[in-house]
Amino acid sequence: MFWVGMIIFAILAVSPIFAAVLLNKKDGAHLSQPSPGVSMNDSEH
Amino acid sequence: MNTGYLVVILIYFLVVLLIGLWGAKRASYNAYTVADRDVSLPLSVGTFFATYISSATVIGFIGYTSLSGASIFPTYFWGFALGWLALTLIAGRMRKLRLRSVPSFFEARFGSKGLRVFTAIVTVVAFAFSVMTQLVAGSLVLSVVIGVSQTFSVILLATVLTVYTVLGGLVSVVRTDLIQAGLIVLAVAAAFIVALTQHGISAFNIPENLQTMLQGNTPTVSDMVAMVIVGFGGVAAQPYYLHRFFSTRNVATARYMVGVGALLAGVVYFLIAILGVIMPRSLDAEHLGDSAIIQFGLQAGGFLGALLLVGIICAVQSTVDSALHLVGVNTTNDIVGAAKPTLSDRQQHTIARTVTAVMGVLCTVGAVTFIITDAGFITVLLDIWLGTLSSALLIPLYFSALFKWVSKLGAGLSTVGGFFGYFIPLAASQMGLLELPFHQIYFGFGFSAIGIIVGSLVSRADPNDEVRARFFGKDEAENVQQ
Repeated sequence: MFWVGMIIFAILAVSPIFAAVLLNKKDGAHLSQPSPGVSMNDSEH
Repeated sequence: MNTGYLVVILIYFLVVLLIGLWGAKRASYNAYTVADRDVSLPLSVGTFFATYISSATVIGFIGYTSLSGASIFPTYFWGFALGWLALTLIAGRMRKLRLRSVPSFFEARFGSKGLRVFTAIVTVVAFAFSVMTQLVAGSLVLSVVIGVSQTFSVILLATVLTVYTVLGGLVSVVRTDLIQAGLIVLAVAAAFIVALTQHGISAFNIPENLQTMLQGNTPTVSDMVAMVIVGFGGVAAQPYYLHRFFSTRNVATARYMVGVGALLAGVVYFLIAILGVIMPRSLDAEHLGDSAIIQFGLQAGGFLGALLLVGIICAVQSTVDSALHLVGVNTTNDIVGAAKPTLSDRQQHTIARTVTAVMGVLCTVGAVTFIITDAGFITVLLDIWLGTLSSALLIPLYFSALFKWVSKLGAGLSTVGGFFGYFIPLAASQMGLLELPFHQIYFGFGFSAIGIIVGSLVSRADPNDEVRARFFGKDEAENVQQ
């Protein structure tokens, strides 16, 4: 059962990177987008 | 006293203090709270990973696996990995909100100052206990390995991390975290390689008694499910991971931070699990459990011993600095700030630094008291508060972020229901007043889920245009236009 547990864990652990790639593709978001920095439009929170 | 190890650790302390000094150059409240929202992917991954890997991970998980084998998966690993996935799914939305703290989410979404202050207080108390217990764990390692008193160790450990956190806030924290992340990976990998050289390929043969998952904290399937939920909630609703989203450079960085960080953490967890099952073959039975990896390092000595010591101290400091930073930010932003919203940037910065410094001192005093009086109740309180935190935050936060139909009353009932649903049954069972038929997390999440549904049915949600645009608008415009 140890290796079954490990395989399930491995599948779960790689899923976030696939989710990140898919979501960024869907949104058209990419790493080179400029940082908005801190502007007057920031929440007062 | 082991002078060699002491010199190594002092060099490490000097490096992180210099980084703290450097971070102090960016002296503004936005730099202190969210690092000017300009944290790159390497720094983001480093800080996510280093904050994630605590002393509990390195010491506790190896110890737990050495005793309870495959139970490590349902007890910790599976729930945590599900939490990583949830964090990835919410990352973009959280980043777009441009908030400075997690509790302020509730005021931005519902205009509820009360909910903001309540979640801030729960978070601050939980993290103050977390800082204390982590300091005690780290100081124990330092005192055993170097041969100095535990009180001296806790003061040394706490002073260094409090100084660099107060000086540079999140700017310093993310940079020290990157170095700490690298050293943690090196330490665990080095221990793994040493164990492999000792045992060869047989290191991957799992002993019979460590094969089953139905042992340790998960003797039944119900316990397995409960622990997966606890682990999932503990990660997905953890304010210091959520807070990292506000500081990333853009939406893509926020998502990749968790994706890449999870891969890295997954690899380290794999190494930790294998180290755990090797320990019974490397050590006497009396050294298994929490002291296993420390004994393993001491036996190996030399370079591995020094690396393991630094790695464990990095794991402690990288988690504690984030918790302490969050205590300062949440107190300033959501408790003081809610009472006095007209403070200038300079005033807020000064208050945040002062609160962080005072909390650093108070937590150090608490940790020393804990050591002197050997008061085990602090770890019990920590378990209660952390469970309460995830019960009170997970459902209201995710549902409010993802669904328009959640009303202010629903979010309020969910938060309060989750808080008391977890806290009261657990406290009652700890005091022997009642015997719980199943794990308290079912009560916490159950009341929280009922609260959000009933509250949102009774009082209709009516988000205004600003909230609709900010929370549910589809544009990525904020990254492009400004």
